[in-house]
Parts: sequence; structure tokens; C-alpha cells
Amino acid sequence: MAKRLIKRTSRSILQSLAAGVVPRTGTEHIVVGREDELKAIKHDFDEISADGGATFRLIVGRYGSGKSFMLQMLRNEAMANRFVVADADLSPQRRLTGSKGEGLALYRQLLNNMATRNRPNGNAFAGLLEKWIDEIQSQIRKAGIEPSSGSFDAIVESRIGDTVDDMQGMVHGFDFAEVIKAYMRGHQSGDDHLQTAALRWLRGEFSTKTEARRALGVRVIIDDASWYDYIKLLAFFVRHIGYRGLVIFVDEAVYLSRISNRTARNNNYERLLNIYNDTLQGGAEYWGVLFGATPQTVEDNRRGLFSYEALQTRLQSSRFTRERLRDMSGPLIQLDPLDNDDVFTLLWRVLEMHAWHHKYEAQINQEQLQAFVAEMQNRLGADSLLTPREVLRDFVTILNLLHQHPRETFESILGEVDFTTGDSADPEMIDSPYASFEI
Amino acid sequence: MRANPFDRLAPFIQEYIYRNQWERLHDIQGEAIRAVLDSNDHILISSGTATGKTEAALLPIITDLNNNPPASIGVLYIGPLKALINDQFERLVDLLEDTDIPVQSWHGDVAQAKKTRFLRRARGILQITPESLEAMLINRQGELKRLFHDTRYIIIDEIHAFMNSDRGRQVICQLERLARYQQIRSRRIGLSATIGEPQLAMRFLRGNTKAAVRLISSKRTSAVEIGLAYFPLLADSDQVKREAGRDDILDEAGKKKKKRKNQPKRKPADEAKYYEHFHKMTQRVPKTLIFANARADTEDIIVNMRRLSERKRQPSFYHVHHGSISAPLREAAEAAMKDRGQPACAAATITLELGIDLGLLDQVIQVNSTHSVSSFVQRLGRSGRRGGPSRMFFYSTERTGKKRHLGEELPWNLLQTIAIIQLYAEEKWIEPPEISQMPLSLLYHQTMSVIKSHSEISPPQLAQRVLTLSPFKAITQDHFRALLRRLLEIDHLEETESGSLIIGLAAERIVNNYRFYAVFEDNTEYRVREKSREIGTISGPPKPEDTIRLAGYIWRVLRIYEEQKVIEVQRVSGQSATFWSGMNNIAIHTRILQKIRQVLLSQERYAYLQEPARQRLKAAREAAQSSRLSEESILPLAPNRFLIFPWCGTRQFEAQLALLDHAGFQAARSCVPYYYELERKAQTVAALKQELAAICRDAPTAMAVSERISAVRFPQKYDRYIPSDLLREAFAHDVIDIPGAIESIKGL
Repeated sequence: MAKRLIKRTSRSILQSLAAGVVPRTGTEHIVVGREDELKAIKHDFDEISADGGATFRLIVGRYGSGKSFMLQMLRNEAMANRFVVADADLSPQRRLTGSKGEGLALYRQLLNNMATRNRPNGNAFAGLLEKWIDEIQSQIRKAGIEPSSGSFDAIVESRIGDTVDDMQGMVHGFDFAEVIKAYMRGHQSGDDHLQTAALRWLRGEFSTKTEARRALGVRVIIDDASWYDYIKLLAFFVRHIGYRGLVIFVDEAVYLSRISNRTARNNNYERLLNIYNDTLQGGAEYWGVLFGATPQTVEDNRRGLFSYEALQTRLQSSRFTRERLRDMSGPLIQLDPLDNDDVFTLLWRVLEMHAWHHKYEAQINQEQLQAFVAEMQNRLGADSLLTPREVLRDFVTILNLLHQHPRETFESILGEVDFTTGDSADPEMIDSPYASFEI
Repeated sequence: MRANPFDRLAPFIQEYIYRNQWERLHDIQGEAIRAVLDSNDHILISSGTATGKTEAALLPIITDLNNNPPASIGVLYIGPLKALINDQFERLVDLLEDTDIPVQSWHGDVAQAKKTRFLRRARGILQITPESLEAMLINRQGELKRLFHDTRYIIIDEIHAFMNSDRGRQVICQLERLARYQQIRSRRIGLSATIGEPQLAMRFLRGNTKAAVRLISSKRTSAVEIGLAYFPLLADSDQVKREAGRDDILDEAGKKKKKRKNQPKRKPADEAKYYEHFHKMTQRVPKTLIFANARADTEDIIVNMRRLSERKRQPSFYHVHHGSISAPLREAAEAAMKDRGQPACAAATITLELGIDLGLLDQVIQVNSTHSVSSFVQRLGRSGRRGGPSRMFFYSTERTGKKRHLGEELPWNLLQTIAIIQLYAEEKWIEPPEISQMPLSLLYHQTMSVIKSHSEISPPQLAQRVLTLSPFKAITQDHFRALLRRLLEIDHLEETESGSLIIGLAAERIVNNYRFYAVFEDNTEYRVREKSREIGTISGPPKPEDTIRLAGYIWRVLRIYEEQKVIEVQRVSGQSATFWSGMNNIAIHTRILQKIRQVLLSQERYAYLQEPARQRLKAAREAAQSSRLSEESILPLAPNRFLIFPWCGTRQFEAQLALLDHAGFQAARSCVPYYYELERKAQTVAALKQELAAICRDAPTAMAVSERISAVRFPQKYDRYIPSDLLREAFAHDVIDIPGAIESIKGL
């Protein structure tokens, strides 16, 4: 699958790794040891597009075991395969459902991050609508009807109607269709206000029904209770305008288990269960959802997913086979931490990429890499806390230094650099009297 | 430039004043207009009710908002009562009618839609209770910056209601937490009807900010009507024989001396007179709030009021309002009190003093003495709204019966009531705030609040955010660590995989309940009984087999009747015992005891005493004189037995007993903080004094004293989650006043 590496991709990968974040593109170039998982999920993708299937997966792994990387890679994979994708991280303000717009906030984030192969960086939704209308128009032109002719607009409208009217049987389908039509009318008549209003409505940005009715003539707005219905509508919609389906990626499911209100937490698990059931029982078509979660988020039966009994019974069966034979058909995909061999392979790959990108001959040998890994593992708490993210961040830092200071050796830099452990992305400055406060 | 203050107000305010036909601006209003518009200081405006101090603050502030509109909510107004907020809101709505300055009252009873609309725009004036502000800090953490970054003024109304209480310290915490989201330093404006020592309120207002505080006070005082009636109540005759005197021992800090149990069908004549008088008082004005020091008293009073109303075919509008009353009944009481069209009368206990909303009142009746001047002043301040005088009426009751010595003979309750009234009337004296405290219950509350608002927070961040709040100055990192460890243990906190803290499952119910926003609580009060005899009350349940110290003795807990809130105990000897303290609520200050002495030894007459009270005072003065109390505070009772009047406050009194205990002296039959008896083989008073002086020279530390006690319990809302070592330290720190005790011993 390795596509040819281009400079733009390698730059972005190396920069991301040095900053300790998952690269947005080119993930396939540095993936190591995830063949089974990839195969299973690619199979899911095929099923989604082949017969209107749906998929639900929980990618489960410890902190830094590569969940986010995996999700990113799958996102790229799906995009490359003509899916519309959308990703979002859960947070205290973004949940599956909530009483203060937390569910809607997740929906908005998903819409903002909606991406296609042509617009891989998000905000693809408006473009997607435009492109679709353009295509319809050009098809009609090809059929010999000129835009100047009186019937052109009516024909466009009826074509669009054909697509969206199919959705009217679905929950909230009628209003969704109305808004799409409003967008199209705005497009035809050059009414920017109408177009903007329709887009805002679809992105969940209207806060009152009155406002929506005045602007678009619809009586509902997308809110916490209904946003998931619109995701399903969107999946159906993108399928019918020429994509293979919609795949959404929701990372940091750990925030669901951290909700400090039992009722709110269970409401979120209930929503998760709805989604799961929908994908299994055909309540949703042409879409897939992948969650990133830690093992504790799933298995903690006090506040994790397993604290919600209905989820536990549905998810737990796959634990049977986990030890020896991995069952890739269950909803849970366990990511094992990379073993030493994997880490070496990964480092080699990054080393080669770095050398290729900066056009030099790699001078580092096997022993030096081992010394580096040993150094990393000697850090305090490395056995439980060391993650590929940190290893790679420090490794790329060393490579950069080595490249800029050719007279230095790998060993001298390794000896000098003071690598910081742990979470360096602490957003808040701590005054010195409290900086070392521990419990 | 000495423009007329009126001319400096915004045109629409001038119009409003003209339209409402004010004749002139009061002095304080003119002064406040200049202070607000010409300085950057905090301002304390102190003047009587109905002298227009709210307008004094608001008119120039609104003018400033109008001239120079802030980019967020411009004014945060914090008021202690919903009723007060509603009242102010109506006035403001009227004033701001045609302006672009929105105003919104914000508390539990305000419709959500209005709140949402106000927040969306986030301009103008927000009127809020501390509890709703806490909710906002917790639930809208992400919006705080947008809402308050340019808040110019923070008005604290009825500032005296906040001082010296956990609720006041909570407000300080809130302002400091809020300041972290602000780009400017808000000016603080304090409003107070009645302030004893303005310095204290000024210090409270300044808090940890750097700005100066300017005092604007009016000479005008609002009218106050005070009356004091005294009723001797005959005790049940055979109980008198068995327990005469002993009941006085148990009569800690003014608990009413009347048995609830075994009440004869026919009430004795004096009791009938008492309730008769009481009933007339409650029928004469529409809104009366009765404060009693124990629940049983509130129940008794209301039962009798209803009975009398029925018998006389007069309207019955009586309610009981305390923590054991079910919420619907309590709400009914609150609604009745707030309904302006109807007369209503509610009886409440001391713990409901703050934050419980019973509307604005015509008169307050106090059954037996308050424990402090500030409590008296505050209750007084609750009456007399709508321009009427502040009316407060006291009942002082006393069990008659056989008395063994002068300590039992003196009507402490009556004396204390007079002393408190006189301290305020003569000197405007009010208890100073406790300076450096370990408010552990509040520490728990703010810790949980900060964690909840962040959802998840690292320990260093948490320590920084909590320990830098000025009410926690005396809390060290070690204290805090001990608390957090404990909270992890009891699952109130949980550590995440990444080492940060989140709310634990066991605390979810506490933190997610709206009651969490309040730091005060009407504690469950348990009556402690030995056989059928009531010894006193404690807050919160002990465990069976616990030993507790109460009324000067040690008791073992035999059984707890949860339903009846009764604890059955047995007296045991020994030293170590859990110290169940009402200290934080009912510590009586040394000045009050000294004033009692002064009242007792002088010949001054007090106009507010009704005739029986006057006679009882005269008798007490005669008894004191014949015992030569003016010269001696130690009276020999019998060979080797002395009666001691330390004339010091509760904390010093307790410390004195602790010192004696530490030195192996047996103090018995104490009546905190009035007198105790001491068995000692000293031949004379002079010899005893020498022994006591020796104790003072070799006094242990407060910590050493507290270590002799097995556990400490305060009746604060969240103390039950605090590790006992911390509570003990707080006890040594905040309660045991060894130097004060030594001083009082030296004065004997």
C-alpha cells in the first residue's frame, strides 16, 4: 500500500513526530505491525459500501499505544477509498449527549472536520454540496439543456429532489431535505444569505427554532437529542451523491467514563449503545463509526463502558479469544503495545525517511539504535509510561540535531540532551511552590 | 471641578429621579457618586435601612456603565437572599427600562430562558446569590472569561451577613477564582445597614486586592424597637427535686429550660402566660420570624401558637422551618413568608440564620439569647424593611426551682441578652472575625468545586488553584495532601491513568446535587439523653461505643435512635473523648461575659426591659452583691469545693478546663462559659489562686491539649470527610485559646 513518498508528506510526518503529535497524512509510511487490524477494518469499509452496511468499532489500547495513530491512518485510508470522513475528540464539552449542548458540540466538531480526498484537511461539507450541484448541472447541460433555458432550474431541482426525497422516510429526513433544497435554491438564485443559512443549519449552528423558521422555513433545529439522526442522514446523503459512505472517528472516549454524574454518564452510554445497535441491526446504512478508548474506559465496571450492563453484555464476549487467537469480527479491537522489534522497525523507517528527506546517508547503526532504546527505557516509569509517541519525538529531535551539527555524534547528543518525560503539553503555568505538588 | 453630584449622573437617571420626585440626594448618595466616579477605590457604604444606600452605589455605577460600556457583564451584584435580589431587581428594571443596560436576577427561582438570554449577550448587571455563583463557577467554567473579563464592579449587599462565616469565606474564594478570568480588577462595593466596626467590613472587602477601601457612612440611623420579656417557667415538681440545679448545668449557652416530655395536660399558669404573650406578639404584625436555639423550642412554640389561634378563633399562619422538616413543608413556609399579601409567622433554628430565604420581615422574635452580637445585629437587620423600624423582641425564660449556689441562681440568659444588646447599643461592638483559620469544610467544598469545574485537573494545578485562595492561608501543602489522600481513599476523588484527579463515584451524588452549592447546612441535630434526662444536643451522629464530651462530662454512646434523632448515653469517667463542638457556631466571646459582669454589677436601668425582667435583674444584682461578686470571682462552696466564674468566652473557658484537666485538676459541673465547680484540697481561695498561677506558668500547647482528645467533630457541612488529624489540628488552631485561658485565670 505504500504510496510513493513525496517531500510534502515526509516534511509533515517528521514535523508531527518531532512535536509529539500524530501526523495527519502519510501515516501509511510509518505504520508498523498493525496488519490484522487494518485488514479487518478495510473489510468493514468494503461492507459499508457494498451492501449498505454499517460498522462499529472500538479501538482499545493504552495511552500512547497508537490508538490515535491508528484512527488517523484509517481515516486516511477511508478518504483514499472515496469515503467522506469526519473526526473529533471527545472532551468535557463534547460528548455523545448532554444537557448543555455537549452532543451538539460533538456534531459541530465532526462537521467542521468533515473531509474528502479532495479536501483532506476538513471543512469539506460546503464544497461537497457545491460539487454535487455542479455535477448535476453539467449532466443536464450534457443532455442538451442550456442554463439559459427556462426549464433548466426546474430540472436541476427535480434531480436534487430525486436524491433528497428518498430521505424523507428517515427520521428528520423531511427537514433535512428541505434545507438541502433551500441551499440549492440559494445556489441557483445567487442568494448568499439563504445558502449560508442552510449551511449554518446543517452545521448545527442555529440556536433557536424561531430563528430557523424565519431563515429557512423549517420548524426544527439540530440539537443534542437529534444530532445522531442527522449523522445517519448525512451518511445516506453522501452515498447518494457519489461517495461510498461516511466514516466517523471519535477519539478520547475516556472522557465518557470521566463524566462525574452517573445519569449523564449512563445517558452517554445509552447513546453509544443506540449507535452500536443501529450498526448491527440495520438501523443505519452506509456509515461506520470508530471510537478510540483505553482499556480502563471499556473495562472499568464502576464507571467505564462495562458499568452500563447492556454495553457490557454486548462487548465482553470478544474477551474470550483475546489471549491467543484474535477475533477481529467483534466490535473491540485491542491494540497491543508495540514490542521491541516493532519499535526497531519503526525507528529504522523514520531514520530512512529522515535521511531521504534531507538527502543524506544514514550513519546510525543497529547498536546505536539499541543504545537509544535502552536510554529511553531507563527513564523513571518508562515501563508503564513510555509510548511510541515519546520515543519518536525524541528520536526525531536527535536526528534533527545530528543533521544540523554534522560534527556531533549520535552518542554525544544522546548523552547531552535532557529529554523531558511525561506530558509536556500542560497548558497551564504552575507557580513554583506548587509545581512539585504530589499526592 | 466641584460639579453638583446630580449633574454628573447619566441623563436617564436624572430623569428617573425627577420623575420619581425625589426631593434631594442623601448625603451618602452625593458622596458615593463622587467616590465612584472620581476614584478607583473599593467603597463601603454603611447606613441605616431605607436611607438609599443601594441607589447611592447603583446610580453612579450605572452612569459609569452608560458612559463607558464594558465588553462583558459590567456589574456583579451578590446578595445573601433571593428576596433581597428580587426586590432590588424590580427597582433596577424600572430604572433601566429605556437603556441598553440589561439586568438579570439569577437564583434558583428564575426561569432558565431568561438566564440563557442574558448570558448570550453578557452585558449589564447580574444579581446573584453566592450559591448560584458557585454553580456558575462549576458549570460554566468555559464561559467565565467571556462573561466576566470586563466586570467593573462587584457589589456585595448586606456585607455583614457574610462576614465571619463560611459563606462569607466562600464569597471571597469565588471572587478570587473569578479574578483569574478577568482582565481588569473589579472594584468592590460593600453595602451594609448595620456594621459595628467598619474596619472589619473594610478588611473583608479588600481581601487580597491591593486597592484602598473608602468608607462612606451615614450619621442617620434607622429606628430600632427592642423589647425584652422575662418568664419564669415552673418545672415539673418531682423533676425539680431530682434535678434541680442539674438542669442548669446542662443549660449550655442558653438552651431553654423547659421539658418537652411529660407535659401535663394542663399547663402551669406561668407557661400559659408566656404563650399568651407570645401569641399576641405574633398577631400584631403581618410577618414575624422567630429564632430559637433548639428545634424542640421551635416546635413547642408553633404548636402552642396554633392551639391558641384555634381557641381564640384568630388566624393561624404558623410554620416551622428547620432541617428536620421535610422539604415541601419548608418550601411552603418560605412561600408563605414571602407572600406579601398574607400574614405569616415562622419559627427557625439558629443554623438557618444564613441563606435561608424567608423574605423581608416586620419583626424578629428571639427566644432566649443569641450567642453573639453579630448574630443579634444580623437578625435585627432582617426586620424593618419597607421603611418600617427594625423590631426585635426577646423572650428570656428561666426554670424556677431550687438552686444550690450563685452560679445556678443567676439568670444567665437574661443577663446575656442584655449584655449583647448593650454591647451593640453603647459601643457598636461586634465580634471580630477569626483571623487565621483552617476552614476545612470549606476547603473540601472548594476543592471539589474546582475539580468539578475543570472535570479533571492535575494535583499541582489543583493545589495552586485552591491553596492560593486567601481563606486557606493557614492550610499547608501537607494538610492539603492529607485531605486529598483521604478523599482518594473514600472514593470522593479518583486518580486517572494520567495522574490527574476527577470526582470519584462516591462523591457524585454530593457534588451533582444542587445542595452542594451551599456551604452551610442545617445540621442534623441529635438530642443526647441519659435515661430520660436530656443532656444537650450535638450535630451529626457519633458511632455506638464512641465517647463524647458534653456539658462538662464524658459519655459513652449506647444507642442511636436515628428516627427520633436521639442518642442514648451513659456517663463514664476518663479523659479522652471525642470533642463534639458547636464552637464554630456558638462560641461566645469574652467581651460578652465581661459585659454580663458589668451589667450584673452596675445599677444601670434599661428602657427595653418589661417589668418582670426588670425585677429579675434587680434580684440577680442583689444576689451578686451579697456574694461580693464585684471583688471575688472564686467563691468557696464547701470545704475543698469552689465555685469559679472565669468571665471569659467559650474558647477560653474550654481551654481553661483543658488546662486544669492537663494538670490533673477535676473540674466538675461546668456550665460553659459561665461557671464551673472545682474540687481541690486547697484551704483558702488565696491558696487555690497560687495553684492556678502555677498551672499557667507551665501551660501545655494547644496541640498537646488536643491530643488528649480522641477525635474532634465540628458541625460543619463537610467535616465528616476530613481526616481526623486535620480536624484535631484545626481544633488546636482555631478553638483552644490557651493564652486567653491563662489571661482569664490570672484575672480571677
